[in-house]
Amino acid sequence: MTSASRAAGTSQESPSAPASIRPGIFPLLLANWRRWTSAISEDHIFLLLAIVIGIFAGLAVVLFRVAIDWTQLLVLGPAVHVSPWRVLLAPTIAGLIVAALVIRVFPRVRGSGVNQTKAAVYIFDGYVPFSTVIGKFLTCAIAIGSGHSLGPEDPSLQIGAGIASKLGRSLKLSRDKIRLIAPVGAAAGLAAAFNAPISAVLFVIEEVIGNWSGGVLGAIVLAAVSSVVVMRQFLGTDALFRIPPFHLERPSELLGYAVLGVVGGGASVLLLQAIAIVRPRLQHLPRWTEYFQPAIAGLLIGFIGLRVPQVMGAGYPIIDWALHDQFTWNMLLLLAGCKIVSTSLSFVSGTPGGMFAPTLFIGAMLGGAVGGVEHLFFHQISGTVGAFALVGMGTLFAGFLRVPITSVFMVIEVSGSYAAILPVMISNTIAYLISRQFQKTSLFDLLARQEGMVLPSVEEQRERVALRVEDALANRDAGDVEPDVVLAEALRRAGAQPELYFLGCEPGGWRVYRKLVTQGDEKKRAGASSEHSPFLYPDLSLEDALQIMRDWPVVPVISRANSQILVGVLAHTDVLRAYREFGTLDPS
Amino acid sequence: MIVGMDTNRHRHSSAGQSREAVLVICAVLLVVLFSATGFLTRAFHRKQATLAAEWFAQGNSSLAAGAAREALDDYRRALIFDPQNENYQLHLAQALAQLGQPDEGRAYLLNLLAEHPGDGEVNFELARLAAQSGDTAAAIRFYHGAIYGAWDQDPVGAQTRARLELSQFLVRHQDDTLAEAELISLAANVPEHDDQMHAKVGDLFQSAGDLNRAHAEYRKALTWAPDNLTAWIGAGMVSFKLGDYAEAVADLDRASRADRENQAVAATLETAGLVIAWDPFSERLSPGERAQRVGRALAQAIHRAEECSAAEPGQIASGLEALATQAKSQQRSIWSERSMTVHSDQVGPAMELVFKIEDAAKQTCGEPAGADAALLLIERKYRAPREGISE
Repeated sequence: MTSASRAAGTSQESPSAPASIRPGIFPLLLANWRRWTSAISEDHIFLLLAIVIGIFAGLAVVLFRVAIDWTQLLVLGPAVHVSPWRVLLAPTIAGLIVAALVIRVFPRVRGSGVNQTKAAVYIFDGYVPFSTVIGKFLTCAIAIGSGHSLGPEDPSLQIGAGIASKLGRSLKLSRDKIRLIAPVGAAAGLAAAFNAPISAVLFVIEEVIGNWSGGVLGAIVLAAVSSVVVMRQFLGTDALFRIPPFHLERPSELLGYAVLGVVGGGASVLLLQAIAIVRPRLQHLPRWTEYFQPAIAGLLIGFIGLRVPQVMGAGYPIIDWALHDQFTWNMLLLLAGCKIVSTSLSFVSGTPGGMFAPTLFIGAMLGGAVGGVEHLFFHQISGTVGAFALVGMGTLFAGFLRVPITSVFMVIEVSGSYAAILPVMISNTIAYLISRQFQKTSLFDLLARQEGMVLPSVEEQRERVALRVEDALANRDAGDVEPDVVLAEALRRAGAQPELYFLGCEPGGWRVYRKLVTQGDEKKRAGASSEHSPFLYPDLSLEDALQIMRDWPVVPVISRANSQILVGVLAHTDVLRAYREFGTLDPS
Repeated sequence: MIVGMDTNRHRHSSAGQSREAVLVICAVLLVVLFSATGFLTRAFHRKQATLAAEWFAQGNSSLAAGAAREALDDYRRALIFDPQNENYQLHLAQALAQLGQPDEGRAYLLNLLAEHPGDGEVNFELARLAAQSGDTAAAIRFYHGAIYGAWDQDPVGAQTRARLELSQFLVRHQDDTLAEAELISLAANVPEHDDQMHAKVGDLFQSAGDLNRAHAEYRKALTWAPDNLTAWIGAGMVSFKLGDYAEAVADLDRASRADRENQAVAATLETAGLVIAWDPFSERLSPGERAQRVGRALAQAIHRAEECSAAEPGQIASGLEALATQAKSQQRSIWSERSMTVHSDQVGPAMELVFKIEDAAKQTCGEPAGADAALLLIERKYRAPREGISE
């Protein structure tokens, strides 16, 4: 029985319905609805779905944040100075519970949410199991709420991706759309977690999908915006941090921020190295130890927390204090060091949770410490310790997570101020370059490889040098040589029959013509004696060139400035030679 | 082909029906989730607000008990649960300032100022911090922000307090011109019956060098509170500086009776009394009394010269001795009391020599006290018109 007949049946069975009106309305509405839904394309459905995903993701993130805060309140209590036993036992017991849940019930919640979203895009056709959403929610709320040094943003991202995947599958979208839907949900989750839609959109583009294709960009933006609207409805419109205003008085002050970039780059490398070295070793321990690794990490964090309780949990209030100059430089340095250790412990032990908040924490503390030290020696620096803490957040974000563009916008968004833009750009760039120099593999690529996946590296894609037509041209000085000689040379390289091809210059530019000799050819029958090739420009990538050349063994290359100028003739074999000589992506 | 089309239509129809069902479920889920999230967040926010209020109250208690460090922790905890609460932020900043951590307090206040640039209280706290750290320009800017800003409670009183503090700050930094301008505005806004404030403003006028306005303020204070000791002392001191020694004696005598331990008042009262008793230029003196005062002055000057030259032997001391010798010689002839009673024209030259000796002794041996100080004050009174005496 269809829904239409069900609706009609219900109306007819209703004893109180006026017979002249009621029976006709629902079938009519349903029919109109169906006509409308069948008329709109899947692209439009995809965009509408992005809004729905955003709303669901926003709600889920709100609940997730409340769950973390409530757990923290219940487990660690509301006091500033928590009893030592609580500090020691809470993360330890939470570690045991979380390990059991991860191993027994939710095995896929382990690892980075970013990578699992990427895996959904590139490996699993957009499939993110919904159990991951529930698993991430529960285990991360327990772990972070009990004091493990991890953040809620990466889990939020994965929760969003999981919700999106479930909705896409339920609505039976096409395979292409389902593959793209996980990043849409990821952007929504991250945007709600950070209260920063621009950063979330940029992060997903910069790290997860790696391109700006119009269709997916629109959906990502819609999802991010709708999730932030929902989140603000429940948790307020305020930015994540309140930043005291500051001004750059003199350009020379930027030197101070450059020093922060160097320090931030060094710290990023240190943290990346810790994960690169320690995590595989723990992964190779016997399987039964996985039950105890988060608990041992929790115990060690508890010991750190006895002396420095600020490092426990996500640590947003502590970042806020640092931004308000509440710590001396040596305390800030201590906090940064302890947070690096405790975050490394939590993360390498396999405790579910994200690295975004700890990155911001370490960056803020390091930035504040650098600012404090600089103030000791150079009083003329007008930027406050809080300003350095703010810039430091972006610096470590750029150096450790290797998302330079996102890091700049993230600082602007979480602070709600453009005042720090110049220091942030300088410091972030330096940290990013240092991190790349000393740690070739980015965090997410490193984690993916440790988890046995080979995901496309967006950073490598960004850095890859594309070979162009001009790189493959054998004779780039065709202007000095007779066009026919150039063509003959290209045909010889391509191994094509020279008598079948000739060059000609039309008003639109140079073409290679191919004589049609086959008697059965349809074009010949239609009266055509030859067909002409497309043409290329020197700056086109070889990938594009191959698509344009199709089955033509040789194609003319003309100048963009003047189509009457022949730059050269490119042969198929030239392209292959160029790839052989210059080399391309090395998947290893 | 027809069968295939039918299959496609059926598939499309079932997909459509399935989508409709999913959309209906989504809509229902959204309603349920919205309600549940709203309920939970409201409950959680209530819990947070309660905890924040508790910690804030605890912070206030700690602060009242003098435990500023504990109060700081309490306020911070309150802010964890209610990070946007501006009252908590303000109290935290005030506690930080009390603990001598102005930079830490300033960060919160600047945040609040960015939100409410016209908030009088925030401007006031920032002005205090700037004044503490000696940033004059910022202090003046923030004090003006406080004076012209918005206050929730008692705006007139708060603005008066802010202007008073600004004036005190300017006086401390010896910016007398600006201080005087602020004080004139302040004096105009002080309620008539507020004798304490009039006395304070009088003190500030006195410190800024505007003795006449200071005197007027003290008199206003005494009009409403005749037992205001500060006003009596201030009025007496100002009268003394203005050269009105009779009024100074009257005021300081009243003050001295109320505060016998005050050495400065006692010393000034004594000096003022001596000026009155020793001044030979006073009107309505008999020739004999005038001659007697000149003789007493000559004797005091000779004594001062001898004492000083003995204490500081040298070239200047020998000059002092010569002056003393001259005075002695004249005292025995035309400047004797009997001669001076007849020749009143000699009062001026005799006192000129007295003043010369006292000035030289002051340069050699430092500021005098008692009768010698009184003689120097008589000199100033004699040489300058009364209105030009003020310092």
